[in-house]
Amino acid sequence: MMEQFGYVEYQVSLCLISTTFFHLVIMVNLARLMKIFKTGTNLIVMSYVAAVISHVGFLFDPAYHTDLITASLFMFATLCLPLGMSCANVIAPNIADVFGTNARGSTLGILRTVFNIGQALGPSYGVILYKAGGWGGEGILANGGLFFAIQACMLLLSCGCLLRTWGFEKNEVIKKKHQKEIEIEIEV
Amino acid sequence: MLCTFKPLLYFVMYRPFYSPKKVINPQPNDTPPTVKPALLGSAVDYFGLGLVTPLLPFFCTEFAGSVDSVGYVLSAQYLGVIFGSAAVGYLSDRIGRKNTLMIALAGDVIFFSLTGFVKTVPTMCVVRLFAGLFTPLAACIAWVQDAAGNDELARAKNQGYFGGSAVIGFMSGAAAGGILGYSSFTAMNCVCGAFALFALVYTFFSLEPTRPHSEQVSKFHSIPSPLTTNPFFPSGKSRKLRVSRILSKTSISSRWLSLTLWLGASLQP
Repeated sequence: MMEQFGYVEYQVSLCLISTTFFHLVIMVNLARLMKIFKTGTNLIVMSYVAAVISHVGFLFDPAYHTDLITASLFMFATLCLPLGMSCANVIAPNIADVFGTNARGSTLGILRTVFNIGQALGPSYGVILYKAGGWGGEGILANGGLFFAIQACMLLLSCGCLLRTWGFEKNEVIKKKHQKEIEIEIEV
Repeated sequence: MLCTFKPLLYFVMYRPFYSPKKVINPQPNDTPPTVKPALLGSAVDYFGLGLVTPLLPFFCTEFAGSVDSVGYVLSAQYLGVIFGSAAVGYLSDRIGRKNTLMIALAGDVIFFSLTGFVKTVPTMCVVRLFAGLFTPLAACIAWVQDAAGNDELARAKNQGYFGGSAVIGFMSGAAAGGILGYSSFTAMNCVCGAFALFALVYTFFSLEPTRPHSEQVSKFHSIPSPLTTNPFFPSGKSRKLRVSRILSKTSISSRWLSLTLWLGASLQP
């Protein structure tokens, strides 16, 4: 990518440093964000939407010539890392409490496992996409090629999965579910 | 230097969200003391990862003649983390967060230090595999979540601190590796092992947070021990329905969601 778009080292460093610093800012303000957006699921959806918009922005940014725009797109394209992962970690104990006893650690462990599977598969998947479409596709997808289009589609598909996490946000919901389960068990 | 950056940091981190006059959380100390061992553990683990990753190409060039072996070493490490995360999470429910965190940090002490003395690529793969197996992150997250109890905002705040400590640990490790260079590979890995030892000692003298929700549930269900049921490793026949529900819910929502999340996140071009 560096060769194709004529990037130099300082531009890559700018993207990485700004992205990491942005992640740190998001992490520090996670509770405030959750208070503003009410639930963790809302935050995940927001991060997905921002990432999709950024990927679409990458598709139609033919030259990557403006440092500020590219760095901003980079930051928002990776927004699902600090927001999505952290909110999934906050929601997971609720799911563990509803369906199990003393299972928070196991649930979070499985979640970490899945994160790491994705992290391990990512580079191979990126190479496959690069070989299939490359960065420099022609026509409607401009220079972004297949890569960013597929990423945007995957993020949109993931939004569908979020429907099942709604309802595990608040402790009131958990308490009601527990009470219902206890009543059912007593009846049985 | 710090005086110069402090107002800037304040402006960037706090200004967009609230003004000093309007304090959202009235608690004077945002981080409970019991969270610190978990934050230290995650920072140490990410410090080790950040230290080794940029120096691996130099290691592989010296001992294997090319940088192609970097992929094998990283794959071995990720393989270890994949199995280690699930095992550590399960153990933290069984033997407690503190004991699990101490075991994981003891593994980090050994294998982070050993990384500096390895002279062949296959041995490095084995050492990094075990370093990955002893990842303390699942226990650390469970620790910070337990410390906040059932208050979701407090859990989000603790999770934010956890993420911040991980980012700071990774950045410090990468900066140390990049500035000091490959010539200090052995020394820096020993320093990393020493950090893990410090975290281990600190954890030993810390109090483990209670697990409020598990106690409530065990009281409701009249279960003598809170360690009897688990959605992934159930022991009672009556939990089959619950297991099927956790599998359907968690598999579909959390697993695939987070898999695609991480696929997207790890593909920064």
